[in-house]
Amino acid sequence: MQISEPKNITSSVGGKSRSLKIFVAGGVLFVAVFFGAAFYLGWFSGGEPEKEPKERIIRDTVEIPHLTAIRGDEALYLAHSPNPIPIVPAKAQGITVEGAEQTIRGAYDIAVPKAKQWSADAKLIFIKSLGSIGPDGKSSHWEFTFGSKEKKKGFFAIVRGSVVVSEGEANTEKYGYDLPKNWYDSPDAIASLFGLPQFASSMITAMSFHYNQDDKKWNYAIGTSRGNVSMVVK
Amino acid sequence: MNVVKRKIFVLCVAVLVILAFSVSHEAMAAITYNSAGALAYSASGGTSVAPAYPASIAAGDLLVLVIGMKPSTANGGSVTTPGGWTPITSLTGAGGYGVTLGADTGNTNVFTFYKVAAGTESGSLTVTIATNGVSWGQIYRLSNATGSWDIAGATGSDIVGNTTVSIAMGTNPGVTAGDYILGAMVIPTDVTTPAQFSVEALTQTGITFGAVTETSEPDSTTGNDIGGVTYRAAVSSGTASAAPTFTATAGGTVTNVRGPGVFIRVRETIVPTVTVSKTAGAKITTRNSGDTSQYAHDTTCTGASTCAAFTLSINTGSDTVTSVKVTETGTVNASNDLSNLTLYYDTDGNWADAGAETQYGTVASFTSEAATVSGSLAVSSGNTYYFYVRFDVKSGTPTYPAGGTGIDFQIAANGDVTVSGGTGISGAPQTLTAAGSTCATTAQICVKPQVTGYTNSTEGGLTYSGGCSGCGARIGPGSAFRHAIVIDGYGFGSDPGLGSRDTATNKVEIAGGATTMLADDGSGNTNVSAWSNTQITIRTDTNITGNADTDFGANFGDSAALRVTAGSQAVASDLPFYIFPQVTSITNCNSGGFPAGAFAREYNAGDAACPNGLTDGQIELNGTRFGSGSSGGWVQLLGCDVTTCTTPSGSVTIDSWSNTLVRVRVPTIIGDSNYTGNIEIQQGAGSNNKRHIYSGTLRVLPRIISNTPANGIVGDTIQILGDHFCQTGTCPVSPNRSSSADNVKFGSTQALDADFLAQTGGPGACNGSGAAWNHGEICVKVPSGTPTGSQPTLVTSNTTYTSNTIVFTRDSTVPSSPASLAQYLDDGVTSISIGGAGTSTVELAANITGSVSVPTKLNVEVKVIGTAFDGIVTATSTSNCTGTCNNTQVTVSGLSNASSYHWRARVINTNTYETSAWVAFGANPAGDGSTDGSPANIDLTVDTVGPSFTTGPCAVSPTASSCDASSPTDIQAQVRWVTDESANEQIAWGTSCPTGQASASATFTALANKQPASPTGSGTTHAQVISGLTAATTYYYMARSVDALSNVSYYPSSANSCNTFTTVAATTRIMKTSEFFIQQATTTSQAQAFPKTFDIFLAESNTSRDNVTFDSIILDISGTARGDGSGDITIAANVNGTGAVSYTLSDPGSDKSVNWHIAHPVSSLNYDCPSCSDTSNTLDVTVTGATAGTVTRAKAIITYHYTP
Repeated sequence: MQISEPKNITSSVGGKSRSLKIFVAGGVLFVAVFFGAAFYLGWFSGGEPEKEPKERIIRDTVEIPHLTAIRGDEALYLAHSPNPIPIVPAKAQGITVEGAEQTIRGAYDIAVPKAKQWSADAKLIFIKSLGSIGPDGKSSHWEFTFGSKEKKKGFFAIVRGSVVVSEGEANTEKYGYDLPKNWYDSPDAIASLFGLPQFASSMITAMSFHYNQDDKKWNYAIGTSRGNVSMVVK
Repeated sequence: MNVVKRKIFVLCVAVLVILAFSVSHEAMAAITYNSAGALAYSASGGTSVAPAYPASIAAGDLLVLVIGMKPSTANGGSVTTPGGWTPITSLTGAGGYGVTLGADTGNTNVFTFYKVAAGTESGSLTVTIATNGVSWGQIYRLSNATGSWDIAGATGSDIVGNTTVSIAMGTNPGVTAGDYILGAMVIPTDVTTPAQFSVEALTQTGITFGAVTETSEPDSTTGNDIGGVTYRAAVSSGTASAAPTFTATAGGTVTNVRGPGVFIRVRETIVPTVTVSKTAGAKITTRNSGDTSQYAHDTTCTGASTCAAFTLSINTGSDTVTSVKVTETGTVNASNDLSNLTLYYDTDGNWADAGAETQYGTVASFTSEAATVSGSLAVSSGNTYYFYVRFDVKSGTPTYPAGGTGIDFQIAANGDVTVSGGTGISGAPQTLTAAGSTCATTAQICVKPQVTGYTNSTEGGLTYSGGCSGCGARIGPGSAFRHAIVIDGYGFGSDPGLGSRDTATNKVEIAGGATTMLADDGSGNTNVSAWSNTQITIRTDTNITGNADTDFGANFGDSAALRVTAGSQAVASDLPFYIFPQVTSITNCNSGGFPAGAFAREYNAGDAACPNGLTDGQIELNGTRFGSGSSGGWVQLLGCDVTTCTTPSGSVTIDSWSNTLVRVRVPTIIGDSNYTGNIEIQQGAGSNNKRHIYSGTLRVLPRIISNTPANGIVGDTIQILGDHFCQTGTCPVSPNRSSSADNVKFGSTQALDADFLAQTGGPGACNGSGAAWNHGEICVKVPSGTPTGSQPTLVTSNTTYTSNTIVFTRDSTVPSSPASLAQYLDDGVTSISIGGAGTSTVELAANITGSVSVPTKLNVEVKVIGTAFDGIVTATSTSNCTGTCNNTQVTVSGLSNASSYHWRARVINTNTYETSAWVAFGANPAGDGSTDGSPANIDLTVDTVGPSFTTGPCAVSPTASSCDASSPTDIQAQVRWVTDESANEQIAWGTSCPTGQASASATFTALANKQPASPTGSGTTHAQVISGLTAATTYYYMARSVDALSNVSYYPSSANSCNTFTTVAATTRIMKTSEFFIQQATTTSQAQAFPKTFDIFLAESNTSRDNVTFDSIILDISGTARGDGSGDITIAANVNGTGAVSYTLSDPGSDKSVNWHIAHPVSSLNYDCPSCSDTSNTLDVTVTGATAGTVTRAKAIITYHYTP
């Protein structure tokens, strides 16, 4: 993965004349003082000075996998992104993951036609993020695995952005599971964390959606800086 | 009671009832006679008379007009009834005069009229009269409270002119108590005096009249004259049963005092009226929307002052109330939202007395805000009928009034009460007395919203039921975990609109330890998502601003917590609503390879922390409303607390607890075969201790606790102890113990199925019973191919679930180098020092340290000094060593005498022939000695020859120090010799030398005496003094020395060969005993003035002091000591500083003295002699354990002998 440098809006002033530098510097100083005072006085935020969110763009470079076998429990082992993003949306403002266009369910809608085309009885085995993921529940890359009882085979699809960029058949002994009735989406799963104080300063690194054989329920697993968190999708 | 008596009794009762009834209907009014207007007279023959109205006429007053007339024609005359007046009675042509008519004579007429005053009358009333000679007229004013009057009259006449006036009226006009009587008499003559009439009186059977007062005496001389009298009287009591009679006394000229009289009975009549009113008691302040059969009054009220009711009363008589129309005048829309108006009545105004409150009529519905109740209630005067209003705070539709609306009831108009008897109705409108409610319209009954129940549509088990303690909701972080609760009830009013459902006017609250309003942020995720008059839907999303978990603070709901406010009115009763905990997610160890989810192992204190600070034996419960601390709360995992799974009553170990986060340890009490189960929490501090079972399942992963042994070699049996090794619930058996799903690895080397050992009769730690792979134990061999070094064990079960790893070291089978090398003589015990001498056969030894269970032996390589090691093993230990074998010895024989050797050792695995490194012995350079080159460092030198006698043996004087020229004495001889090496010594002697012995050794043995008895000593110089010899005798002797290697040498060395010496002739010796006193102590203190120096002089001694021998030396010491009462007294004597000898005395007791006396032997003393150099001795005596003491005497007693 690659991360772009924060945009530096002042970097272009290096070649100007001294007077221009002084002028610009003075202007910058004035603006800084003005906005600083404004923030301090709470003109913009009810009296609480806030930091202007830094703009950061994350470019995931993901090696697109081509699965030959699907064991079924791969989603229990999260593919943590090296670029953690704050769980709390307010703290993630200004951070953009390039190509993070789809939530899990959005990406599912893209991947499932491919799976159905492969086998009409295809059922989902698991989904896991391959790229960075933000509090909006969107990732640049999602890995889908399906199983077909009829074919006794598995199928994988990699969704990058909103496009299936890799797909293929793989060996497996797992043939997928029926989806939950109340399948709340990845943003909702993440939202269940940012309201809890223990996650107030946490970062999110990965996510998966998998079937728990023990309780026969679908689970989300979310990789965070506090650890891996799992929750049931009833 | 006989029949007659019964009849009498019934009759009496009937009479009483009748009397009571009659009394109850008697006009009990009070009539006041006020005044009379001025008399007026007509003109003679006039056509009118105009009496004046009395003063102060008020409406309702009764005006009575009396006209007295003397007609112009005998027995003629008439009066036209004045407008608005009513004739009462009249009598014309009375007086008994016949047709005579003249001055002061003739019949006269009397006319009477009445009118209920309008109140406007004033001035005079012109009355038209006809055939009038002369008339008088007068108007009287009476008043009562009601303005209702009943008038009747009777007439009569007095036809005899005398002083006794008596007019018997022709009829009884019906006089009874309370009536008032106005009367008059007309006479045809003028009055002779102003008071012609006196003593006016009335009599009537059954009546007692009050005082009869004359009102006036009309008197006119107009025309033919006219006169008369008017009077009045109240009726005090009684009821008339006959016609009345008026009497008076006439004065003056009484001839014509005769004429008609009139008797006017005035009675106050009461117009039957039903009066509508209300009590002072205030209405109930609130009623709940939706409730039925609700009263407008407080049903605990006990009287008219507290019970709100309409009242009806009839002032007289009775009537039947046939309907009552009640109008709702509050802000509520009664036509839509109220129903079943019912009226109850009683007559005491006391609702709560359980009296005879009776429903009146039918149940009525509201139409146009009014409900008319039809019924039939006979009301009678003297009673007040209290009408209570009951109604349903709902309609039949049903619809319900909104909270905050007001209800008020009114009998709006007199016509709203109907009676069958036509009695008038008055008093309306009447509105029930103000309620003083909290509604905006405070006078009205305030409608409160009412919550009747709720349904938790997210978790049905928390739905409300009456008196529930398990109802309420969990609050959830985010929309995925919020609960939706549909609140049912009445009167919530219309939807305030999204974003406005959390105002002071309209809101839903949960009031527990604190009050939390469900926030409506106006978004689609609002926590108040729907609102109607009968249903509100709330949610419990903590992501909604204002409803964060922290906003709930100490609020955990309680038995009365769910509150709806509508129209600024809160429900009267909050419903039970408990806020339950909710575990929404689980955090576990995030070490690499550890599955994300509700997975953990049983806790082990030795576990290292995962990157997130948890260990694999800890999990964190994320959620809401856990309570502020663990007090009162618990977490149970798989139905276990920390000590039991059978009847858990406590908690697993809690590491931390907050309202949203609880960290716990997975208890080790969980059964090894119990793999999955619930995570259950009970709220802690500050809560209602409600519970939640996490919707997911906790799986306990395999844990290895120990490997026994923790190291080994390929093929060793390892007992892996732990738990939860069979994640499918069924443990794998052959041939499935080495699959991808189930296997055991040592490092990366997977044990084969054949490596697993059933524990039945298994070796080592696996000697129990059962299969090789159990839930808590696996017995497996270290698989072939396992590299040496650290190879931690890992159990994989059911493909996904792997254990922790526990250290296992695959030992090397290369033996460890030997240590503690040592060399011994061939006895294996006697150590040969480095470079020391050894025999031709030696034992070379070393410690074999065996950390591996392989057979080993010790190799040694022995080389002659000057020859380098070449790796060729000289000798090997005979027995295999398994494990550690200290002092393993290798026998090396055939070593050459006088040759020096160096050697080294190593350990060899006799299975694999792997060897350790060589370790060189002794002073050779460190390591295997291979760098010695041509070693000069000798480990041992072989010595196989006994010591050589380099000097002697010789027999000399006992005092000689060498083999000098001296000779043995008469009784003693000294045998001396010197060997070339250290050796012990022993001599043998006798008076003859043995013969026939095979060797020197045998010869030595055969000699009669040995000195010492066994060989002693060491060194190269040897001497033995033989005593007790016989003078002038030849003795045969041999010497024997044995070196350290037990090499023996004899001298002479040949068999049957002895050395000889001869003692000299016998010598004379004298014995003596002498005593030498020693200075006594000079003080009695314990600090004795010792040591004392003393001299001994032996005159017989030569200057060499060699002719005197001590036989006995005793120091005789005496003294006293005073006991201290504590422990023994010790006397210590020390001669010449050779060492104190202590003598112990028993303590005689405190301050008690004891004399002591000791005989202290010594072996020698210094002594002087003639021409000798001076010498002396010391005696030191100390006394301890005494408070005081002294040495009183000391002396040396010496016995010795000398050679003169």
